[in-house]
Amino acid sequence: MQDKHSILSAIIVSAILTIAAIVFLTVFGELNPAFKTWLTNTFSHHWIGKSIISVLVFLAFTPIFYLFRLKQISIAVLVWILVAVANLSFGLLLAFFLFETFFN
Amino acid sequence: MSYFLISLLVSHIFLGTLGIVFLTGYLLYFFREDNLGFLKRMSFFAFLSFVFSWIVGGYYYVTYYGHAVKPIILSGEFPWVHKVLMETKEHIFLFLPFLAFVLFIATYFGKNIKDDKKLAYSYIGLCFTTVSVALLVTIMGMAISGAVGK
Repeated sequence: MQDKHSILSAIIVSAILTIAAIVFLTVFGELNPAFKTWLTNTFSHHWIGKSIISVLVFLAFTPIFYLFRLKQISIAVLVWILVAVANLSFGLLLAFFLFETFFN
Repeated sequence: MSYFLISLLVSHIFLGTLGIVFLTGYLLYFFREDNLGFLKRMSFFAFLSFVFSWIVGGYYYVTYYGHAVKPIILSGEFPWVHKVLMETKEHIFLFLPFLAFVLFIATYFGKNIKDDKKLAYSYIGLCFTTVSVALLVTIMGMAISGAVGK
């Protein structure tokens, strides 16, 4: 059961970091055209680049956080953090594109 | 647009909607007795639906939308629909497979969901957030389709 807790904790924390990475890649790509061009040149399309990097981030962080054995933090707390990060990330991206379109 | 691309676009919408239906089933049946197997199946099928919707929608977006649809919207009456809604939609969609995967694994490992109320409500919160993001993505998609040729 403790091992399941460690696996699940690692997956939730990795999902949190993956969503944060998606937001970072998106905003940084819009603010830095050279980075967006690099994504396009490397992955044939910037969106494919973000998709592949997000999967790689998730796959890389899951075993790392599994080794950390995050048993002190309850699963419910981690899930609520994931919910908060997902909602905030949604709001942040929408606000960013609204600002870029109407106020920049 | 070729029949192949039309079928991809329709599949993208259908699979995304199917994911919403599976997660709505998850929410509706959460507190019923002896339903852990049902919840596991619903969360797993929702995850699969979002993954396949991601792949077929991504193929359509990369090979067709950018050069054929985007310029029409940008030169039309509502260019902000692409600049705000499509840009937001294409990136928040990436959240969905990860949120659905966490829900599936959490449910798969969650033998004591019913006994632990804090855990139960966190799963409901995660499922509700995933459904809400998917519904907003769907509404944005409808607005984008509506802006073509206006």
